[in-house]
Amino acid sequence: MNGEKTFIEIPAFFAGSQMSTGPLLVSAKSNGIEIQEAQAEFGFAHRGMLDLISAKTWERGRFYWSHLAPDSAPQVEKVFSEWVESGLRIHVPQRANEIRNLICELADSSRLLKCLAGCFRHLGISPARHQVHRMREGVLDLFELMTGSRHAFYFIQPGGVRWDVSDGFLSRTAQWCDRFEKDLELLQEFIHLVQVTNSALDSLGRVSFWREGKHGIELGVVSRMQVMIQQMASAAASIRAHVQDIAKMTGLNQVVGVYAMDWVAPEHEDIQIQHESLRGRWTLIAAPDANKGIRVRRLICPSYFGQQWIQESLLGAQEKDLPLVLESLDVSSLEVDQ
Amino acid sequence: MSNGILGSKMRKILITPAICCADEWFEAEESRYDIERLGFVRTTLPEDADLLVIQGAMNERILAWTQDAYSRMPEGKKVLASGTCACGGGLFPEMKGNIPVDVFIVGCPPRPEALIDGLLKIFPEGSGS
Repeated sequence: MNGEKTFIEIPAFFAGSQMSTGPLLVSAKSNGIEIQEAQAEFGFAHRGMLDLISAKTWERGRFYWSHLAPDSAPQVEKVFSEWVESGLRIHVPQRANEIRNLICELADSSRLLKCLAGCFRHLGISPARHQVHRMREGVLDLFELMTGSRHAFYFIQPGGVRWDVSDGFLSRTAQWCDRFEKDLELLQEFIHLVQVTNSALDSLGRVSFWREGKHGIELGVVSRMQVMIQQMASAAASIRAHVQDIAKMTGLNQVVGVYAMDWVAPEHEDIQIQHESLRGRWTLIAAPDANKGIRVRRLICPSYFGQQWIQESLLGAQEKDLPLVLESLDVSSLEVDQ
Repeated sequence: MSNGILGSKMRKILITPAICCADEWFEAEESRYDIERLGFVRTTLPEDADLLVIQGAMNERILAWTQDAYSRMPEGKKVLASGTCACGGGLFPEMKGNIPVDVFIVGCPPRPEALIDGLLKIFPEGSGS
C-alpha cells in the first residue's frame, strides 16, 4: 500500500434511463498511513444532475433521481437499499429479491414504452403512439396493484420490500406478459412496414453513441425502436420467469423484508441504525465489543453528494480506518464524526 | 371555437415545462383518460390559452417564462397548479412564484383522475352538464 494507488469503489445510485451513471469511484493515494490524495468521480451523471444534487443529502438526492427519472425509481431504490444492506450485512429474503427484480423489469418496460411513444410522436404516427401509451397504462396498473401508486412508490427499502404482492397480482402480471408479447409482435411488424415503405425515415433522428472515447454506432430512430422492442421482449420473458419463481415460493415463511428504517443488524445486536426521516439523516450507533472486534463510531449525517467534500474529507484519514470510513460512507453517506 | 358534441367551447391549455408531472399529463391526454373528449386541448400560444397549468418547480428561467406567458393570456384566464412542486415547492422549496392560482392539485405526481377533476372544477361545462 505504500505510495500505491488504492481504488475504492462505492456503489452509488444510477438511473436506468437517460441519466445513467456508473458507480461512485473514489481513488485514494496513501503513504501507507494517511490518505494524501483523493479523487471522486460520479461516473456518467449528466452535469446538470450533478449540479442539482450537490449539497443535498443522500435521502433528498435519491428523491431527485427517482423523480427526474421516474421510470428508473425502482432501480434507484434498489441500489440504495443494496448499498445499505452491504454495509450492514443485512440479509434480504429471496422472495423480496425476486419482487425487487420484477418491479425493476416492469419499470424498464415502462421506460422503453415511453421512449417508443416519443419516437412515434416524432415520426407523426399518432395511432401507434396511442397504442404504446395504452400498453404503458397496463404497466402502471400493475405498479398500482403492487405498491398502491403509479409512480414514485418507494416500495423497495433496505431489508426488502414494503409488503408482499397482493392477491391476484401474479396471475394478472402473467396475463399482462401474454398480451404484451403479442402487442410487441404487432409493433415489430408495423415498424418493419414503416421501414420498408419509407427507408428515408431511418435517416431521421440519428444518434451516435459515445463509447470508449470515440463515437460508436449510429442508429436512426426506426432502428432504435427495433432495439427497444427487442429489449422489451427480453424484459417480458424475464418478468414471466420472476412471476413463476415468486409463485413457487409459497407460504409466508418466505417473508419479505421489513421496512427497515429502525433496524438492528442481526449479526451485531449492539449496532443500531436510526433514521431521522424528516432530516434525511442516518445515524449509526454502535457499542465496542472486544470479542467481536467491532470498531465502532457514532456517525452523523446529513451528508452530501459533493465530490469536493468527499475528496477533502478523506485527506489525512488513516488508511487503517478506511474500511470503516467506507462502510460509514456506505451507510451514512460522507460525514463521519469520531 | 365551438363544439356541439363536447360542450359549448374547447378550452386551450398552456402547460409549463415539467418532468414527472408531465408524465401523468401525457397519460391524461392519451386514449384511456382523453381529456380532449371533455373539451380540453393543448396550445403553445399564450394569447390563445384559457388556462395556464403550472407544474414542476419554478426556477428563475421558467418563472420568467411563466410570468410572461401569464401576462399575454387573454382576459378570463385561469391558473391551475398541478403537483406538489407547483403547489408548495415540493422537492424545490426554495423556488417561489407569484402567480395567482385558482385550483391546486396536490400529488407527486397527481393522477390523471385528479387532473380531470381539477380541470372540471375550473370549467364545469366540460362535464357535459
